[in-house]
Amino acid sequence: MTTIRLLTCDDLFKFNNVNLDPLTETYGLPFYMQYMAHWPEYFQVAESPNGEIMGYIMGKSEGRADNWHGHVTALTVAPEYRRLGLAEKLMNILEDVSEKKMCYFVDLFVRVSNKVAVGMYEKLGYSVYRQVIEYYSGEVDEDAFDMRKALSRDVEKKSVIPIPHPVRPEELD
Amino acid sequence: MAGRVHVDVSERRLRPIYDCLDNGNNKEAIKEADKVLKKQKNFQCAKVLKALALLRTGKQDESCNILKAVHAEHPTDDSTLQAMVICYKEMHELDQIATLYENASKAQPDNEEILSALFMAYVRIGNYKKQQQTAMALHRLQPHKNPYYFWAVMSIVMQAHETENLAKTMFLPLAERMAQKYVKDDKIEAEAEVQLYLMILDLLDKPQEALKMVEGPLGAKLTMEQNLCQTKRGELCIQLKKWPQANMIFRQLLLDNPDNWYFYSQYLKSLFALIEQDWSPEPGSSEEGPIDNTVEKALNFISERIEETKENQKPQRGPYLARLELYKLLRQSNKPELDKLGSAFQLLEEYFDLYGSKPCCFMDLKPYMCLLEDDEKQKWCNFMLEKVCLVSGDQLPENQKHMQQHLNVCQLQRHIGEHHKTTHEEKLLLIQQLFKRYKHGLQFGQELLTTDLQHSDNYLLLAVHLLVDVWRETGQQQFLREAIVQLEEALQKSPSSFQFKMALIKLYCLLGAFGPCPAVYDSMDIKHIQNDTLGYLVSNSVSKLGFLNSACAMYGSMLRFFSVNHKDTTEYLIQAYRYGSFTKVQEFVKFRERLQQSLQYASATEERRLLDLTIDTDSHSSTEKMLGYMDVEPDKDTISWAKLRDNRDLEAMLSWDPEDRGVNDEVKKRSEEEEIQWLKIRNLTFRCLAASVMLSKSDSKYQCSCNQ
Repeated sequence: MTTIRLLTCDDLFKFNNVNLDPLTETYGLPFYMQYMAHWPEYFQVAESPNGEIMGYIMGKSEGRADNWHGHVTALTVAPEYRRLGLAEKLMNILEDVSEKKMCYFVDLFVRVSNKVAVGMYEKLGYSVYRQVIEYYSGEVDEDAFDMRKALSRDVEKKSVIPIPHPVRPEELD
Repeated sequence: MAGRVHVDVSERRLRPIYDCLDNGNNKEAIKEADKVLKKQKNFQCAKVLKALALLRTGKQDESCNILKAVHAEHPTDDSTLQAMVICYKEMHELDQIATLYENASKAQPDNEEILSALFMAYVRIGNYKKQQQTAMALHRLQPHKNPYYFWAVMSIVMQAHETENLAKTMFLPLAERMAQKYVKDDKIEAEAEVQLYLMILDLLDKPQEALKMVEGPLGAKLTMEQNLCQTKRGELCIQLKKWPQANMIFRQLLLDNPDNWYFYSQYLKSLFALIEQDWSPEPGSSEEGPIDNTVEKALNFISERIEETKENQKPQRGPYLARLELYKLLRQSNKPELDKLGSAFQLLEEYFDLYGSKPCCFMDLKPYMCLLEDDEKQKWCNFMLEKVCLVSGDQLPENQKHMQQHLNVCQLQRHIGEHHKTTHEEKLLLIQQLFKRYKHGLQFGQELLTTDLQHSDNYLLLAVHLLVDVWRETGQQQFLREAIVQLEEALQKSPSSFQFKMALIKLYCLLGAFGPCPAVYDSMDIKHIQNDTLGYLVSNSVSKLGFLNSACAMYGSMLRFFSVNHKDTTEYLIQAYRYGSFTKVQEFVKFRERLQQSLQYASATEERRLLDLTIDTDSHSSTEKMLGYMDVEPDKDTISWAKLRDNRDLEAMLSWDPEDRGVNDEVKKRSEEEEIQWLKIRNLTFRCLAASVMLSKSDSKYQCSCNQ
């Protein structure tokens, strides 16, 4: 049971139950405001009946020509609201917005070790396009999967043909 | 042609200076700039770049002199202007950016780029009136570019925000007329423009006009957000008390979104209004779709949604909770149709059967436990435990889901006040059982990563809450110590449990032991806006408990957040205009105000000033000096008390307490009042101290620095 709506600045004051999760990054205000100013429809929050934030998705559209695509910057769900299909709902919204913006595909980065997330994205139709070496920096650097799903505009699904060799972060376009 | 060659030469000459600046090599940049200036004495951009490099090496005065001189020449060249903007931004002299572009624009009134930069300069300093004038100048220059026109409209809306008494009589009607003109002339292009018009109508409280627009061709432009047009339409119908239409619209929306709580709440609202009015459809009237005007119809509708989701693999919680909500509303309004839904006992049971194994079940059922009579509540909980065969302490769950069912009931038991009825001996017994269940439950989480939380963590937290209860009743600190030991141990199993960490900080502070807190706090990686919302976890105790160095560091990072952000966030106001996200403009302005007026900000400022006086002074003269730096006028109260905003997230810590014992609105209000009183004491203490030091001025030198 959820209300899904655009995230507003006031939500940043009460998203702690979601953001204190160690895999959810809390960014500086400019980062959130940039997304709100530029891609407001890509920044949506799921709210429970009592007004608690259950999770949110943050994304954008970018790229030129046939690389014009939707991108998932962050997707997170509070621990107590997992396994209710919420991430799927939020992803559907992002894909829907990307369709309306005539994107060719949607892409996202995920930690190679995050098997639960990789499995979930696969279920939603995403496949590994390439592996990015040491994309995540931390105590131990970690590789990312760059996963993609073709949208209806990419009729021949060219955008998701995998690149077999891994790439370095600086080679990303 | 000649001009082009000149530009290329200039560019080539400047390149080395830019490169040095980009690499942070400021001294080299100064040298490079001097080289260029030797050849070309009046090269404005080279001068400004030199000023920037000087600024960055701390030579403020020298830098200022150069800037002043160039400023007075009224430069118009783009690279010079841009370099000056960077200087002024780094000096936080945003007003200067505005005059810079004012001059440039006077020299080149038809230069669109300069004019647009001037508009942005006014956005930075929040001069709405001049924003409006500049946007209109842009519009006259480029009448076909819609955004300029709507920048002007938005600037008028902001003047309404600023000058409330003229909002409804002057500014908003003007904004409305301007938007209307574009509607009439069929010149509306973008969704953003429609949104802005809707915003104006909303501020003017004109739902009738708004509805007309949403239902007309312009409504079709509202596409980016799912269902936005229909949702807006429904909301406006509700505002206008057009209940049949509202009901029909939200009913329709629910067919495609059977899990959307907001749609249910509006659907039910319209249903009850229709029942109240005894409304029934006129025979033969042709509406766009069915309207539910009776409890029976609504119940059928919700039941259909339930049946529908049962066919899906994953049943959705929405329709089930909607049925409970319908029950609650019928109960509140004493409607006889209540019986048609069955008993609350059964409805809650059915929900528990479906979702009892999900952690969200407690949150879902919490608002509906009140549907049961007091004695029934307890019976219901016991019945659920019997049902899942986990009544006595010896019956242990078989798997994680089974355990979660038990855990949900335990939490509900606390919520209905079961724990608070028991004696403290009974509580201690219960605590032991909870510890046992916690440990037993760990086996279901052996595969978990360190970033995951153990499934049985909440048993331990329940036990901790009970230990605090016992401490409150008995006053014996051993119970707090016991809670801390258990939490520290559990943290090994769930190293990223922020609930454990918050509880630990609270307990350590209750004991007056701040020592371990900084490490726990740091491990939560609290940053950015969390300084405002969660800083209270430590800031209330750190200086009271005498950890002055920690306090300095903690208040320091909080204050950095507030001051840096106030400077940084103006750029996003500019972006909101640039991308036509007009709804965000006002939101950002309010957001900045909310942060500036934060109670946490005011408190941290006060505490830090007191600390600076305490720590960094060792004599009367050093105290005087310190006060001189602080630029204090003790007789002036600089805090806008009435505007203070309490941004603390007091609900971050889990609690299953009954409504009247938990963090309810009354508790929050009282806590806010206490904080404000405390701030007053600290503020007055500081000003008293400052005043007494100033009364005893020891030398004229101080007087001098004080007057500066």
